[in-house]
Amino acid sequence: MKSIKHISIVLAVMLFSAPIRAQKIVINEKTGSLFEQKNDFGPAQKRFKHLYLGYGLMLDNPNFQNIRLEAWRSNSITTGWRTQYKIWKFYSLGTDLFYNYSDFAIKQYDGKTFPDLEIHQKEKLSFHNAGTEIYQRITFFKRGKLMGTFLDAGIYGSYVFLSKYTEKDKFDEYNNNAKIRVITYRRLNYTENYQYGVHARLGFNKWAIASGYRLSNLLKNTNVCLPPIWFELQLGLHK
Amino acid sequence: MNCTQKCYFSLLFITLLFSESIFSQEWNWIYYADKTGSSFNPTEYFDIKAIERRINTGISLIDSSDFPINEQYIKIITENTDSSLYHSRWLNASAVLITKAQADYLKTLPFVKKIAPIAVFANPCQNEYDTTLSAIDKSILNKQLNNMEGSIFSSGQICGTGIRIAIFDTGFPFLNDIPVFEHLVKNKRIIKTYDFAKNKELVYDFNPHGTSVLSCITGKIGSIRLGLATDAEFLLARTETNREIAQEEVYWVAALEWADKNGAQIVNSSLGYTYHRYFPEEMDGKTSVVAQAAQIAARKGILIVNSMGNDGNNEWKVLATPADADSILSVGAVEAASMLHSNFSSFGPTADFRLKPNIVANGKVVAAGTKSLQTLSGTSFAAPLITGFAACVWQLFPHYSNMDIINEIQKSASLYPYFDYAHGYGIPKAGYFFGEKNPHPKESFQIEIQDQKIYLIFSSTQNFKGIGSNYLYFHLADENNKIIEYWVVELENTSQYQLPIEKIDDNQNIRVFFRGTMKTINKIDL
Repeated sequence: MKSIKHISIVLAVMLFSAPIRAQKIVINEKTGSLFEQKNDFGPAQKRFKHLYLGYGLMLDNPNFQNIRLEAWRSNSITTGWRTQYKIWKFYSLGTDLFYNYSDFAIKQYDGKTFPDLEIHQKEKLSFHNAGTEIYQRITFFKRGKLMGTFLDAGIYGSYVFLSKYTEKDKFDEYNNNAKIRVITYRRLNYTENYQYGVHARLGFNKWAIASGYRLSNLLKNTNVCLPPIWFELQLGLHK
Repeated sequence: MNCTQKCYFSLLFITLLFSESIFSQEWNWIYYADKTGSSFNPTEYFDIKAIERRINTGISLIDSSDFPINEQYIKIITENTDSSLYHSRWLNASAVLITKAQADYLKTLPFVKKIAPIAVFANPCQNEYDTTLSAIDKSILNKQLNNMEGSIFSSGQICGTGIRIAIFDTGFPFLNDIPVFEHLVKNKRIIKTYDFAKNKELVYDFNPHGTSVLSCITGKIGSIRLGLATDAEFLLARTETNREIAQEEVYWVAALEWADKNGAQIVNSSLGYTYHRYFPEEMDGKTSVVAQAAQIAARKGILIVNSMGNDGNNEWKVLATPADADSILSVGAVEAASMLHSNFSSFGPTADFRLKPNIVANGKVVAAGTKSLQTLSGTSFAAPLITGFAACVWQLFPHYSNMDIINEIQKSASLYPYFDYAHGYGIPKAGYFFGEKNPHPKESFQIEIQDQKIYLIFSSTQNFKGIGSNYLYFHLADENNKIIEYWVVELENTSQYQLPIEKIDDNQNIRVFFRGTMKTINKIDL
């Protein structure tokens, strides 16, 4: 009885499989969208992933009474790996991983309160940080075989793995052999470990001008805020 | 980071900035406005074979594109550029290395028509080597010529005798030491060689891709043939490099003019340029310089055989230029066992919907490697099989023009007059040129329409013997003959097939091909 059941199943399988075997489609291609699909795809794509370098400046805010920055000496360098994923012809999402070194050169003037009231020849706060950004990219005009003209907007966040405070003074009156004294304090206990902000970037092929606004304060337990606006010139290291 | 380190970094940044934007040099084509003042004597310039080809095919010996570039123009350009690679008569242009400042100056010269950049990358249609040679490989060797009925040529002593073939490739290392080419070397049938990358004659070095390609045209060991044109003569050009990739298209154009000058009748190019430089929609036979040059060569009576490319299963998927050029034979690959499209073989059509590939050949072959016979895959090796085939046809019909050869080879192919963008017209058959009829019986199926349904009724249900005899080919075409969709059905023990009529819109038709018979079905038939 059991064997009859098995034979019935085998016969049923054979019966149903026969029409399938009789007409097997071995190739099937549609051509209508063959070239439309490839609009996403071209010589520009190999540039979507690239290293980049950046040189930035911090913008002083004259309305800040407690801390002001020296122009030009308050600057930063950045290097990172950027990639983008194309969603639509003119719209992409992207991310990058970066390392950034920033110097905030504190202007010396009567009335400064941070980090203290003392006037030095030079004084600065420095931050080594590594982080990531997420951005959306709108590409204007026809990209052609290059990156084209694009506008990015996104958010960034980074981990500050080393902060430093440096002060530089002349001490001729105390030591004839040491005209300049530089004191550096590392791993400051009054700086935050994380920072985040928003940014925008206008680019043309390998060049871009970026600007950002830091939403977090880099300093702990104080109402003093380092000026949050920065600008950066970036160079994508691709052909 | 101290001040000194930052200064260094900034200096590096500024150096990069300046070097990128101001001092960077790029390869450019400088196109001239005219050829004023240049003179041309075809009998001095051309090899006797080139003159013969022109006379035989009714092409004028005096053609403005063959006139040299005005020497004064070249002198001025040379003085104002850092390096020049080639001066093309056909394009009336010079390939030069220039800065942006130099380009700006050159644009102001009255005889400069335009300056166009030579883009950056290229991609040879090359596949990895398999070093084993098993019993299965012997079977592959047997099929690579027999699928084209090559033995019919061989038994008729048709071996491409007197046909001059130029091969553009990556180099031809060890050619003189490989027994597969002993007959070539012994009979001095390598007429000329030139390495366009190194600007010297020696080509027997570098990547062995060219050696393998050559063997698929002319190789033989004893009585075993790897290619059909064992008695042809050759011009060998190295146009592909591993490093100086920016200039490869220039080398290709230069080699084509060189081949024409030296009397080439057929050019085999198992090379292609794709996504590193172009968009798929630029595969239109007009955009790339190599496609333009290929069409000029075709007008001058040269038959160009180019591989389709190996991107069929990649995102790119479509053919590689110059396979997109009009009036050339673009060759795709099929599996030897099934005679169906090899998945790596790039698909047609061209971006302007011209039929490509024109024909197909085996994509897996046994070819000469540097140390032993090897089994290789790629359209790079399908193209030279067709080149050998074309050389035999041309020997058989010396009065044919290059276009006659293309047309007749297409007519000889296994699917003709049916075609699709994976197989073209199919695999060419030598028997056609000896008056053989299609081996498949005509009227192999009937069309019956019942209740708004279309049935194909086969007359030989039990007779599906032989590779491809049970394949039912379909393509759905619009009123402009543009194929919208195509498919192949493998039949097994069936006497009828119901056509999927839901695929057909008004003004469209389906062409069906089965065992040598093609029938067209329109919506109106219903």
